[in-house]
Amino acid sequence: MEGVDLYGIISICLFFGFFIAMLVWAARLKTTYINSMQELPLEDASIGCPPSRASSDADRANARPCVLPGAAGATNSSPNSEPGRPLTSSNL
Amino acid sequence: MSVTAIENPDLRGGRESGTGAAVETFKYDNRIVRAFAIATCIWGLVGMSAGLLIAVQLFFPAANLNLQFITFGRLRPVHTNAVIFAFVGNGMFMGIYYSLQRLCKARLFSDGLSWFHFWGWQAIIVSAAITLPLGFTTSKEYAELEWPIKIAIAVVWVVFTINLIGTILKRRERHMYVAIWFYLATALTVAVLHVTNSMTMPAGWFKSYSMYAGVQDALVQWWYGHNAVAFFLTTPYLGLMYYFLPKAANRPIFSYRLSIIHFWALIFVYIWAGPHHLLYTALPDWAQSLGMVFSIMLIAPSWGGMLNGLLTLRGAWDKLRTEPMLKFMVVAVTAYGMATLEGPTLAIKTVNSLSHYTDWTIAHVHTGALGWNGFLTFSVLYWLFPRLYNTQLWSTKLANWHFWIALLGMMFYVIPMYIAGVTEGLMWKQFTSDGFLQYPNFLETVVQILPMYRLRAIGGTLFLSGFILMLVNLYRTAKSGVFVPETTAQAAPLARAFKPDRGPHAGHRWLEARPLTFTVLSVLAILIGGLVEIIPMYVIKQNVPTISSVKPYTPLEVLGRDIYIREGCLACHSQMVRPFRSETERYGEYSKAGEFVYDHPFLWGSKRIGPDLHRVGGKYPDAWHYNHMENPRSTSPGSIMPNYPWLLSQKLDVTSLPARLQALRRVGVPYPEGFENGPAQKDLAAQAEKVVQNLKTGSVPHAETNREIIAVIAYLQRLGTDIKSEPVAPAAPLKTASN
Repeated sequence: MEGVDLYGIISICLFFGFFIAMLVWAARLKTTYINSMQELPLEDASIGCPPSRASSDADRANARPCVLPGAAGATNSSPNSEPGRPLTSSNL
Repeated sequence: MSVTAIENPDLRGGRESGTGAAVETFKYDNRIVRAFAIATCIWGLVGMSAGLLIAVQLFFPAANLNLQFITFGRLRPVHTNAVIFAFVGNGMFMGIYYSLQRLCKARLFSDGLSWFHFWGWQAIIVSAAITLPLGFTTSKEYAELEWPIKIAIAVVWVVFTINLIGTILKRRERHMYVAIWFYLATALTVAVLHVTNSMTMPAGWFKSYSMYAGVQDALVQWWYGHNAVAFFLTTPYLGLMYYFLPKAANRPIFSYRLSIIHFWALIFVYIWAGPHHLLYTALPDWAQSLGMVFSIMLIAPSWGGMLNGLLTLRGAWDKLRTEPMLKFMVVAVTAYGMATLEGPTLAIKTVNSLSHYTDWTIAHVHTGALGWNGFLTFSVLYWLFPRLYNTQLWSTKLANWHFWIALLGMMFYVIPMYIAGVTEGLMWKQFTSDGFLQYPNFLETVVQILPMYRLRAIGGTLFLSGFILMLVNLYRTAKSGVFVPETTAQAAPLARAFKPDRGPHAGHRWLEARPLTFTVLSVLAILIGGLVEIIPMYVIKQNVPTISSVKPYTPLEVLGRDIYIREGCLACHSQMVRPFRSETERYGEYSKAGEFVYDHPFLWGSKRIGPDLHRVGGKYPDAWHYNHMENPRSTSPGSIMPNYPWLLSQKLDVTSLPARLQALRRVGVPYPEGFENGPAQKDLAAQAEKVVQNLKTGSVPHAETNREIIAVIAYLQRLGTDIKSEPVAPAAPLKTASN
């Protein structure tokens, strides 16, 4: 069964080679990059919804789900900010 | 009001933010999302109702109203195709088209392609709903649709992939979020799986024969089948989890690093797991071992996904109290974890020796299907509908009712199936102290688990009821709101020149910026497992040792086999005797790889609702089969098998014989040239005459040679006789302990 053994050996080498390389890559990723990628689903560029989630715990506690202007429960008509919160670089 | 994109220092980890470029205004397409959402709801109702009907038929066979179109064998593929491809399929497209646009900050690549995709997919589903009950089936599980529909699937899938990749290419967010990798892996791998497993030789508009035979066909089928689970039921839904869970919880995923690791591990390891459907069969040992080992390894990346999902909610579990969407999502992710621990456990050969062919497999499937796929789809629907219609959910209370009823339904489904599965497995293996089978009559086991089948139907009813509550809720939500056909958005386009960061952290970030490179690497990752397992099955002769006494099926037997496939007998009967004493005592000599070389397609089966048939040839007289098919209870009291009276009255279609034999010859069965132009018909008539004479001897005087039942009897009497072994009953009691 020598011919078949070879496939097993190749498989194991491929497996370990690939995953060791991948683990090294993942371990060396920069944290700031990781943090920014994690935010992606929380910003969708829709007008009327804040494009970027607040970054502090306090803001997180106060954050409300995005409701578009004109929707039931919406209180503002200004397209680019939540009521009472001016546009700043930290919430864009 | 135009907004200038401002560079955010937090984002300076390599993400491009289009500094200084003017923003573009564009619109997300919500119409296509709504269309897929409605389709999901409709087909969910259809698929689950079909499931309930076949569940009832198992303890109440008369529920098929004696109609050939809705027997268990014909209807089971309607249920599986509807819930997998229609319900989960439309659900995945709904979620993908919603999230993809927002993650890419771009509208879908082409509205035309979106609608072609939508209507094409629905047309395929309708054609499945029509052709499957008519008996047009390949018999290969989750790939039952005949070749014209398979081509349509390929076309629609290519359209979907173009739309997916096209949207990614016109994105305004350079880096692809993890959900997008899962969508890409889905699109590419499903294409590879579909094309490979659909290689068939047509023998008519709605009949074809697999290009593969026997052991090779089994391996290709279950490489496909398990990866249909992986890349149709798992990866797209993991993508949806990675988008909708953070969105609903308003917090980022627990660990992006973990998502990178578990993504690559998942798509690489999953592919190899296919052989765990073939443990202790005639598949060569080395392939079985690979399947087992990789299945166990699969726990790690699967649980990576589960943990990432659940830990996202750390410190925010109180949100579940007020948000039904999150309740469903959490149960979905938990069920995913349960199913992905149970699956590897079932893939251990020792465990599998008990569980294979039993209802434990069904329990496992439905933990994943109801828990992971069902609950996650419900979660996304509850989240999406209010947003699509710019309103609040009509009734949170009703959603909570749905949640608890569905959960109860799931328990009533899965737990009785565990009990049934373990009971069956143990009863089949039980020996008396004298060394005889404790339950030599298969029916003794069937009767024992019927109460479990009744409980399972209650579970299904509950699950379906909860689903209907959801439909009411979503309908009222839509009625109370105003549909938002498009959502306006703004983002800056990508700068042309992208300078990647230097240094050690460039790695995966570099890859995420290059969707086509990512695509190629993903395809390579998934191809490796398939190639390593499948190629040796063809080039290394000792994998399928030839048995000189094995001959092709005769013309009459070919027609009979095709009727067996048409009626879906495979759904209840296996044709693979495993090398256990409990099986050789019950059925006869265990099945050898070389016996199946002319089986296009293979018919090993995955479930024994009825007994294995591989050694049924010569076991009963022809008349027994005649009477048994007409009314199984006349020969086997207590049987739950449907009646097949139409086989006795319908005329055998001999005109299609030349096309069938030609197709079989083309896929490698050595019928002589010109055989189908006369000699085959003579052969068929002679063999049919013999069967009719046997029937007359067996007190069935009125049988006619041109009926379908003659062909079916000829086929059944051929099964397992090629190696000239006869089923053995022990002459003297055996004193040794045995399994």
